[in-house]
Amino acid sequence: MSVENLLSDWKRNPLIKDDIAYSHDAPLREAQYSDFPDEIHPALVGALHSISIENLYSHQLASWRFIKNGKNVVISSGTASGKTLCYNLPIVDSLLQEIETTALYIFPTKALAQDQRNQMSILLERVQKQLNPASMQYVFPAIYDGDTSASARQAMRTNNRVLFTNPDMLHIGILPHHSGWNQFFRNLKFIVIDELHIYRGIFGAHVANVLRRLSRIMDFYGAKPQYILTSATTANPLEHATALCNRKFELISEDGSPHGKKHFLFINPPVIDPQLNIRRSALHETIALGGEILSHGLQCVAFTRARKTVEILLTEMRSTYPEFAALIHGYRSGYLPAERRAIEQQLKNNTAKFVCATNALELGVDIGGLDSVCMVGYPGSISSVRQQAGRAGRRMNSSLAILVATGSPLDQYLIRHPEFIFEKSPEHARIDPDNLLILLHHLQCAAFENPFREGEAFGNAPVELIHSLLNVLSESGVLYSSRNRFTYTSSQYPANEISLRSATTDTIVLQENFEGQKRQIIGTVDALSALSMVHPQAIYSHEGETYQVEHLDLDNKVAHLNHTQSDYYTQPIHQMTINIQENLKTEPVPAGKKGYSELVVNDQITGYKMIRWLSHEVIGTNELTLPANLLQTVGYWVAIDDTVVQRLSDEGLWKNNQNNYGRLWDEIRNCVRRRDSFTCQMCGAIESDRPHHVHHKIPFRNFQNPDEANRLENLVTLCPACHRRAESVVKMRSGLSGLRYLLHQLAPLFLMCDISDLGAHSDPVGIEGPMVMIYDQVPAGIGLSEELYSLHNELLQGALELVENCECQDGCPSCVGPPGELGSGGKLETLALLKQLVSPK
Amino acid sequence: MTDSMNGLSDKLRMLGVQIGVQNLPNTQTKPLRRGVESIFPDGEWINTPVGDVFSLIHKYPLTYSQGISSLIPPSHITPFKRWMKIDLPENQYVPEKFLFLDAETSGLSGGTGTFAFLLGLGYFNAEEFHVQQLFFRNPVDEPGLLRVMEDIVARYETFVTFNGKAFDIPLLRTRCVLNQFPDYFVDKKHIDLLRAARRLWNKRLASKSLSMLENEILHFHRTQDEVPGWMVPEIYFDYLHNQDAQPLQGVFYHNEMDIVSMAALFKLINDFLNDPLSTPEIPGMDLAEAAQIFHEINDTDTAISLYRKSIDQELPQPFLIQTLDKFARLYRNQGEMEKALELWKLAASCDQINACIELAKYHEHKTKDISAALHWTEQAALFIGKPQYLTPNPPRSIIKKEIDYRYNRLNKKAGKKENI
Repeated sequence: MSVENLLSDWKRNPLIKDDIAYSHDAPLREAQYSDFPDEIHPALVGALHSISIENLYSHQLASWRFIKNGKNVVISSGTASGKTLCYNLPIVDSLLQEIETTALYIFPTKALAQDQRNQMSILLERVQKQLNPASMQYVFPAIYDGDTSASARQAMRTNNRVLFTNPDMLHIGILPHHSGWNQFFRNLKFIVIDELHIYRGIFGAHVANVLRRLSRIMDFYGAKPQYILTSATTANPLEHATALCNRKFELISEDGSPHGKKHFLFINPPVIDPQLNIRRSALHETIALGGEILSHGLQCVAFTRARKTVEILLTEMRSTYPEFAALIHGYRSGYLPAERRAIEQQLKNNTAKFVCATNALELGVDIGGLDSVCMVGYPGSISSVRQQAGRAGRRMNSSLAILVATGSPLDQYLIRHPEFIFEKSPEHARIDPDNLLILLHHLQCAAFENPFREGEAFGNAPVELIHSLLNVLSESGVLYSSRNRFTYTSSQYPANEISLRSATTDTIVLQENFEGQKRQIIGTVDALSALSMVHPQAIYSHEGETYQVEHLDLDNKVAHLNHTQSDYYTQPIHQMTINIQENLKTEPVPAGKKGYSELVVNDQITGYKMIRWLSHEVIGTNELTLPANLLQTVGYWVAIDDTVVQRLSDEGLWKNNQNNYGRLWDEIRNCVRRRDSFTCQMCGAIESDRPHHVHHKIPFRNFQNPDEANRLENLVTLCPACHRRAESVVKMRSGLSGLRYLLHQLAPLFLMCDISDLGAHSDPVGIEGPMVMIYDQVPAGIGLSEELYSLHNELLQGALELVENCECQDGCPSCVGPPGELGSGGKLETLALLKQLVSPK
Repeated sequence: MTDSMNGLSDKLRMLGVQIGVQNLPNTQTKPLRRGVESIFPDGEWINTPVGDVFSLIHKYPLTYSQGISSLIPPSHITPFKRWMKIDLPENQYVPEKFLFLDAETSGLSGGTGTFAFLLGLGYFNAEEFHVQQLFFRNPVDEPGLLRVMEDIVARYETFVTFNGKAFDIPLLRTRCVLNQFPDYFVDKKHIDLLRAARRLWNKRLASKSLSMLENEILHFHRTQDEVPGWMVPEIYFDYLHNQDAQPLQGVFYHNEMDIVSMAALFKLINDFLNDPLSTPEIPGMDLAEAAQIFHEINDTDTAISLYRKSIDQELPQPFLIQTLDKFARLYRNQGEMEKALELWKLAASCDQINACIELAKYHEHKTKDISAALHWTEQAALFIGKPQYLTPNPPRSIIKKEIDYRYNRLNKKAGKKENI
């Protein structure tokens, strides 16, 4: 049964066809072939023939040409397009032509490095067979990573011409001992960096600095290697490559490889609660579709965002379809390498039919092409969508990629914008290698590797900044400055002090208290999130077990937990204030001003709520006395002009359609006016010809039940003018809140980051007026909010469109946020604000 | 600090950064306080075009004693050479071609950011032993030190170090690469005394550090001037910042003693190996280790005498049992089965499973005394059940299997015999 059969069944099936939000077909594509270039070494041609490669794809030839002309190259052709040969061909050719040449390959994971090394080995073996044995020393490609034994490491330094490694090993094992690799580095002609798009955010900033250090070492040994990068598609591959490596690149984006017909479906699960506008979960939708796929005899990989979801999906699929249970598997990190290799094999030989996986299966490892791929919710970036969808695809036969949307605003927005996936990606990969903290650490590592000279540059970091940082390091004794030279003078090994994946070194260790027995370490939490995740009395979940925090020892960086069975979970109550320290950029925008500023986020946890697991009811709150979490960072903000605020409230643009405040409203209203002596509680005006209004302090619609809303403490008598003013404050707060929620949810779409990388805050009485702020959750910032500042128009446009198209009445989790919670937005208010903010087209 | 730097420091502090030591004294205005030449008046400055080096030479008469050992070089090093597999041609032992070496460094973790600021070199010169110390007061002068060192090293063929294989020599070679010097260590031989120490005093001493060996083997104790190794980097960094060379005295003393102790140890070890049976007051465990060494270099007569001498002394358990076993194997390899058996019986009486198995084997195959073989097999089975049985290798379960298999086989044989 084919993919076409499946699709036509679905398009006729009344249970499925209405959920199809969009479908797209890419036709069968023939290969674009080119001949082998004339100058290629005959042994290489022979080797390729022996693995049935008779000619090259067009992009492979293009890559060859660029590289042979000494250029740096970024290759962003799709997955399974034969990218490997784009770099292995010219490199192996050079290894054959010049006996001393060496090459360095950098992969983000050990698994990928292994896979690629094996491919290279096979190619080299075949080449070796073609040669007269006496003429060439066998080139053995070696892997140098954390698992490499000490004796192997020793041998590798002197003998190897091709080295496969990862950024962490480069950082901690190779660069600080570069003198042991001096032969290798002296003759280094090629550096291959795979999966460029992964190097963004914090990890990207670290790796950019590791590459700056590598560049310094290259200079020391007089080497000038070429850089060859591969990347998934983003909006700015050239810019990204230059930001990472500080060099000029040529781009190869065409793809000459063939593929069968590709079908793409966007599925939007149906609304099951019209009042709350809640949709069926993406997970359950996937289970339904999965059954169909299995009964059509097709293979599928279902990608989920979280490891936990893999397990849930796996269990549910097996219990829903017991007849297929043996063919359904899981795949994620945390499984043993042997298990993962087995499943990869089974996918290749079609004995595994349905695999639930995290994006661990997204990267390069060879699993053959699949009949279909199903993404359970938007995977977090458009390039991930393309990578995961790219796993579906066979040479000749048709394949299918499905994206099942969740109810989150981003997912709902995206399925209405298929062009983001099929045409231009809006994603800009950003790296900010000059983040102060990160730069400082790598400067120390660089000085350890080779002393700094006065005035020496470090990549393209501002020279004055480097100069100042070097002086700071001298003042604190880490460096010794004398006669224009900065020498490392500490007995510590600096590369040990940082991990490439985090901005700070601080983590809190979570220790379980066990009566009488040795304390178990459950895990760690980074210091920034510690107060919010493991405050005293907090309920903490880990691997399905629940614990309660007995004691949080911030000085020693330990949290003591007790295993517990509680029927509730906790949620901290934050009180946040943001202080702008310095405006780095500001500009007027329609209806107000936008800015990019240095700020300090003061996050104080004042208490916590206890919430019952199943019913989500709040069973109580408690107070906490904790130190404030201070985050020094950067943020993007939008402030609303006073005139606009005035206009919105005067013109009554915020119509309040709510007239029904429940039965007994008239009596309650009279009671309140009497209690307040018929006097406006704000301006003191006494009622004359018309009765005053009675105003809900906390808006009516924020309550589940009218009696709660109408409690006398929540009601106050106001004259019509003051009432309008009070309402506008409430509406402003409400509108800002909705705007905050929206922008926070949408921003990751444009930035290629996770929502947790950004913090959001709204303040009706901010220093620039009513404002919404989105800031980097990393000390000193990592380039995210700066990018948002320049994407202001697109961001707001997207937000407006999302709210306008949402079918809910008064707000829902898919647009401005769930109702019924204090501090959430109203749809009308947010819409009114947005209309003012978006520049008229 | 300029304004912009103040701002930067504040910013860094706000980000929670703590680097290095806070509140260092400002060195720009303080004049040079006490230079090395005032602390070590006997030293001299060597000025090279690539850096200034301070050189201090201590001269020791060969009769000087570091604890119980003098510095007179051993007459030959033949057993030592063969044991350590050092490629020195037979009759070419020339003490004047040996260079003792120890470096004081800016850190202990290696890597390209660690440098050696003080180099101790020990060599024989006429009727004396000289300790020459080379020092630079500024890391910028390092090439000068490497240049002077290059000239000195050219005169010698063999290095002697303590842990130099893993630390000092790789570090100095790294410094050569980083300063663009040729690698002048490449054709030299290398004797690492730590390696010898680890074999000879493997079980007897918990730590084989140089200071432990000094105390326990040389019976030498350093004066109050001594500073422990881990303090050395900080002392040098302090000196860099306040230019007060006084505290360096301890570092120089430490380094000097390291060299002298190495020379003394080298003599002591070789004197012992050259005449192991006559050297007085050698503990039994050392005799046993030496016996094994002589066995390895195929001097079985000496090995046997040493084993015998060692078991005549008080040896601790389980060392005694292991020694008896090794001794017995030596005899067996020589074909002296009787003597081997004697030893195994002795070991068996102290719970040695191996010994019981050997005896069982002997009786099964040589004397054909099945009941004796069974008896020893049962003893082995008894002992393996005991919790205090120590087997480094092979693991207990494998031995138990072997014993059971042997037992069953012997039983069958015994059964057969009875039937006959």
